[in-house]
Amino acid sequence: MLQKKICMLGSFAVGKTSLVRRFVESIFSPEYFTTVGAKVDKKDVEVAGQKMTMVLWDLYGEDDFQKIRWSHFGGAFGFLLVADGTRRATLDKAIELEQKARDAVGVLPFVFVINKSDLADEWEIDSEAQASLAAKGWKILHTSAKTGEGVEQAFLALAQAMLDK
Amino acid sequence: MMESLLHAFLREQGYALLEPAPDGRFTLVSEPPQWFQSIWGQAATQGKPLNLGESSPYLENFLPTAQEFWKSSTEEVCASGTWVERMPSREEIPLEAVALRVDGKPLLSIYNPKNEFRETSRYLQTARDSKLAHERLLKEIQKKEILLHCIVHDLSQPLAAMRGCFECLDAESSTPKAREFVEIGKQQSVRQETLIREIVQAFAADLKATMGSVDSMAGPPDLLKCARETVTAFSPMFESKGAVIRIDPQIDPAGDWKVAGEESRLRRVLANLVENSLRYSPRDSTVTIGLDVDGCFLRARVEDEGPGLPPGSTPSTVFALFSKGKEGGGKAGLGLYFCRMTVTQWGGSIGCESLPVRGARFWFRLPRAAAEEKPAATEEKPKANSTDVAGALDVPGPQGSTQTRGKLPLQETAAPLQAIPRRKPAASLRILLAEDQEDVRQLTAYLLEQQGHEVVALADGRKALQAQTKQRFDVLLLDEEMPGMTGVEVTRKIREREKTSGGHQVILALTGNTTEQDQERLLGAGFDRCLGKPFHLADLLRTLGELNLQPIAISRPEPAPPANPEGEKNLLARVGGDARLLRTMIKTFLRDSKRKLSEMRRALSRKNGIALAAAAHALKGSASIFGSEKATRCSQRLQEMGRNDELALALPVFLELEEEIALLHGKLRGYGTAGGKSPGQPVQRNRGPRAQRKKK
Repeated sequence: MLQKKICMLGSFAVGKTSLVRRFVESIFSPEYFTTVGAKVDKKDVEVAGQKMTMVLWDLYGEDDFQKIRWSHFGGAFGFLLVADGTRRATLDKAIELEQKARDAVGVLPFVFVINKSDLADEWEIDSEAQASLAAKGWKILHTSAKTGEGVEQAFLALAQAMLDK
Repeated sequence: MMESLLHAFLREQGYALLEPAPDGRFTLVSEPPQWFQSIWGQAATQGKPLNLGESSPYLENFLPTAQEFWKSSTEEVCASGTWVERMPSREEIPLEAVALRVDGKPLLSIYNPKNEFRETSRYLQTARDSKLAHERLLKEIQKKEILLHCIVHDLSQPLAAMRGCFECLDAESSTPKAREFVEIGKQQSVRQETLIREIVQAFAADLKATMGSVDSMAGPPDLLKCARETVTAFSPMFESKGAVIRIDPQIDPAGDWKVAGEESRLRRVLANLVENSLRYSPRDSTVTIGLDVDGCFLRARVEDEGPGLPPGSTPSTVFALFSKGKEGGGKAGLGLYFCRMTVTQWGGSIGCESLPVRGARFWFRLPRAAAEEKPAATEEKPKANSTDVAGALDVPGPQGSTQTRGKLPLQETAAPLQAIPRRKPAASLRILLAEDQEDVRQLTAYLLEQQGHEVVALADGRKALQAQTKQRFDVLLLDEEMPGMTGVEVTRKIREREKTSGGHQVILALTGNTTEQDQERLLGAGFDRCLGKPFHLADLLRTLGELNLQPIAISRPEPAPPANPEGEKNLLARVGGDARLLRTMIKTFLRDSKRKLSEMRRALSRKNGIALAAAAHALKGSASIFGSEKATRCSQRLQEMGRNDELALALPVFLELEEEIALLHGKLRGYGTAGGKSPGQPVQRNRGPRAQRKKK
């Protein structure tokens, strides 16, 4: 079966681990436990009749305390770029990381996920900011690891993007 | 013996040592810990070669790097970094691999750093939890501040106007009972205001306590540092839009850019302004953050190359609560409001304007940190006012909020009520009032007129300068911040002109910026005095009194001509020689023409062509009766302009008419008296309805 490695990329506390857990194990914990290091999970999916094992690398979020090790991206076919809709700064970090990823490992398919759609009333990332990213060709999806909304679609969209490449 | 001890030691310490084989597999060279067997199985203990990558994708990713290390002669440590491996029991265990060379022999160490991992996790968890809590707290503070200012704004604005209206009603009330009712209304409005202030103070104390816990240790923020951080934070966003953000290269990096305020909120102010500029920045454009020294202040400006401010917008509207850009570009309309609120709280000011060619400039200025020793303007206690003047109009500050209280004379709203004595002033002044807030302008003008002064009220600085060029005024009352041309700019131009023309126009600043530094700055700009907003009418009257103004009529080069017996004869002839009728007509004209001028002024400020035409039509008839060709002509023009709704050029005509009517008043007051006044005597000025009543 086709096997594709993907990385989770984004600022801290945006919900990368929660998205993976929701996708792989269908569970959600409201408590925030920071990720230290990396954790690898697998999930079999089928996209457009093609079976695929997604190897999900859940990487710690980048901040002042921890910087991304781009060697983790070795062999990756794509990445899920995650921001927290309620924290504007995580969008800026996502844009910065996308650029860094391009510089470090070249152009890879990715899907930009704005998480915490269950808190849409508190979002600080407005539609204009999203529109300007969409105009650059970013695929943007809204997810809620808490409710599961959009989570599977996001991973499958990435799987599709990797197949299309 | 030693070897077996060493193996046992490594096992107990959580290490597994492996030797690479040429085929890419590994053989254990030490006794493996339990976790190793759980992951790689029993085969691990039987000396069989292991394919490590098969069971651990993370290690699979690291091994090529390790292979390269063994082939090289580098001295650098080759470590995998920490990863978490899940064992068959679903227990998760942190691991770290290190490629080693021992006596030239390649080795791979896999280690379970459980203690370090626990400590690192705790440290990072605490740090990130704190950071999230800080972010949440700042958001809460922002929400509270907005709520606080909404309360002040929404409750104070109508209240100030209501009190002004009571004052006006008081002036117009003719019966004791009516005045009694008005007095009750005034008293209740003061009570209401006291309640609002108490609520505000309670919120402010709460906020102060919260902020104190967040930032009590922080020193004054560095504006340049915050600007640089903002540029760094926004660069990716700008890049994604095909635009550029930069720091103005002219800024002196060695300068002292510390300002009054608090760093995280200052960053948010800058971020909000930059975000706003980003929203309107086209592709291939640049947004520049510049910093300037402005006396005791530092000024930050964010300049973009977008379409500029929408036509008709003013700083008041742009920075208003829930104000959104064109096409609803903004979010909730809170960002710029927050900027204004925050900057004002720190004793600064904020503004915006379109740039000459294209783009817009958003700026704010804050007191330099050196001047920060004194408490911020909001923390200063209101200066108590003398009780004999309380109860007059409370003129709202910028945006109608209960403004910061500083060194400038401000009113004490809770003082016991006592109406201003309506007396004929010692000197009736001709006053030019320039104020962009319509309600403030109208009420101030009205109440000054009630005191017998003659007021020309205009909505912006450019018109004020124009009027001052054409007419003479005893004093100019200029709002500091107005669209088009600020009061400061008007004053500077007048002072420049005076260098060659001589003379000295007395100018009073009306300002919401009320710190001592503000006062110094405004006096330095050429103002004679400053009056902080909100102010009582009584404060204004006292300030005018302190200026010892001599009514310009004494030195006015074009004094109204004395009564012209010929003119009087002609007028008498027109009314069939009935002197009594003529006197009645003159009285009526003196009263009505003033009213019509007020209606026209109001119509102009509201851009109401129909109302302008109606008032101009009525005045034209009266003016022609009294033989003033110029007033008739001006009225005719204004009537036509109003009918055609072409008001762009109406103001100069109106000012001309106003001047002509004032001259006509002077003439007419001389009629019916014994020989009128001799040349050189002060012109009898229009003293407003109240004064006229007294005169009667």
